[in-house]
Amino acid sequence: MTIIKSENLIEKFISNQEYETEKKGACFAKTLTCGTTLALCGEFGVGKTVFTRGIARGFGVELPITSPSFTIIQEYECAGKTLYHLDLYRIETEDSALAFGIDEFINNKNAITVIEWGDRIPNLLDSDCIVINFESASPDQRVIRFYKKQVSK
Amino acid sequence: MKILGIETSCDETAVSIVENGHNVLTNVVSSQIKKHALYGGVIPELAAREHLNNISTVIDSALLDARIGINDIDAVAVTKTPGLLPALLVGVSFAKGLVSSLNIPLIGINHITAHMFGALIDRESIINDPDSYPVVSLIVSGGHTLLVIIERDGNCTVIGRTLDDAAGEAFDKGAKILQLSYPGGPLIDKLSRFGNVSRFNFPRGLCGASGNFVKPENRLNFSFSGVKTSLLYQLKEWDFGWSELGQSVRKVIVENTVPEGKNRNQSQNLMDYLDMIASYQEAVVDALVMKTMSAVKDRNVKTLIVCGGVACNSRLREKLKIEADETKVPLIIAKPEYCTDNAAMIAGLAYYQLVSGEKDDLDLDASPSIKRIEQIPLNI
Repeated sequence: MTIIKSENLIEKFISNQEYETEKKGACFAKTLTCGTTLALCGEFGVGKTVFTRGIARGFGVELPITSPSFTIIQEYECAGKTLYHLDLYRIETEDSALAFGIDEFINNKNAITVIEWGDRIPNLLDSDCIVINFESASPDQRVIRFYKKQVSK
Repeated sequence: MKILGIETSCDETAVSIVENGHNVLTNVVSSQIKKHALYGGVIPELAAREHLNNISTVIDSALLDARIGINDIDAVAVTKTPGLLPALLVGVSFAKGLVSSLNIPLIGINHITAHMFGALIDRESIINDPDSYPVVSLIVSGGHTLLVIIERDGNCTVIGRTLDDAAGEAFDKGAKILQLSYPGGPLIDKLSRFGNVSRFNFPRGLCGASGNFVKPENRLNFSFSGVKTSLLYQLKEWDFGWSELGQSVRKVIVENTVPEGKNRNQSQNLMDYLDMIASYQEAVVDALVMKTMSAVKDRNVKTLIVCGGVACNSRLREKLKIEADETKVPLIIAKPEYCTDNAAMIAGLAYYQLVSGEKDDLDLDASPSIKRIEQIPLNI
């Protein structure tokens, strides 16, 4: 099951360097309300963690935003908001993700949740989740597309 | 005083019994790497389930190995942070059960602090010598890359850390990009010995190479996401025939020698690949060595210790040794059994905590994120 459907495209953004990806994340953070889940998709080195760092900066988190590939979850608090940064690099199936308790983070109405490799758990994501797909066009350039997961019927 | 230590923060169920902080009576690690190899990584849910299956067997074999009974244990220590929460909880819950049935003290331990102690577990004289301080510790593993200063009074300060990926993650993900299996770090180490370290150019993050300005606050910080991305792109330009190459690479790993190719092209292809691995490893190692030695010089450090899984990397050990000899600073690299996750470091550090009056009660919480590096209560 793919969670990327072209008819659900909201926005396409071209980033020409890492800094622009981070800045885009920071601007995007300002539009987010608690209870939102973002599923980030794309291969290694396309800027998923950089974009998440931008979101954290947008919230005012000043700590280093390190990759949660090994730690799976990093939690940040700022100005009364909670940001969960998850990375499913080591979790390959929805069953493993559920056993890990991922539902507590996805459906947490009091936090904003960013999930790297979010396309690995398509059936666990709410229909109002935002899917962000990263592609590299050249070593520096990235194409970032924002989608609604699906229009619920 | 005999302390039983339990470590379940990641993929190892480890139990150890240590007497008076340094006399390791037993150190049992139930390695789960084989099981995870099927999945290409550590899977938390599996890890938690395995810890639960393993823990009583591992405790039994530790007691048997130490030739003591459970009633001879004076206290129980357990890793409380950081790590994968479901995995940590197995250890913490088991430890609570043990201390309430035996009516002995419980000590919760910070895994990172314990790693630093692990390098000194067989060096009691260094801990007790006031002239050993300040100590700088490089902690390098899959989840962490930190430089910590330990002062004479046991106060620890983080002076450098990674801003993105950990060094162990750079090795693990690099290995995956290079189509190597899990665990990737040891394979990169092994294969690098056959390659040319200066053939390909990879960035040394935040080191000011290629004229990039490094902000003063990043002088001791690390960055490894750039080198990973660079590998990805250099590999894209290179058309390795993976199926044929895979066979040759397996030969290098198993036979520890570079096989003759069927033809010149095949031999060259393998050499190119080995050169790329060696150059990649060199970039990660160089950044670690450069930052560590800057810390040694900046802070007038008297002892350098290195711990964590990546401290097993032979190239890192070799280059640090050369630099430390030149700077005339004593270098202590944790023994391999104390580099990777183990419980001896947990039980050993717990002795110092208990002696200085730090213990926990049954409401001890496990916490996945590292809150802070606590003071190491070494009595000197």
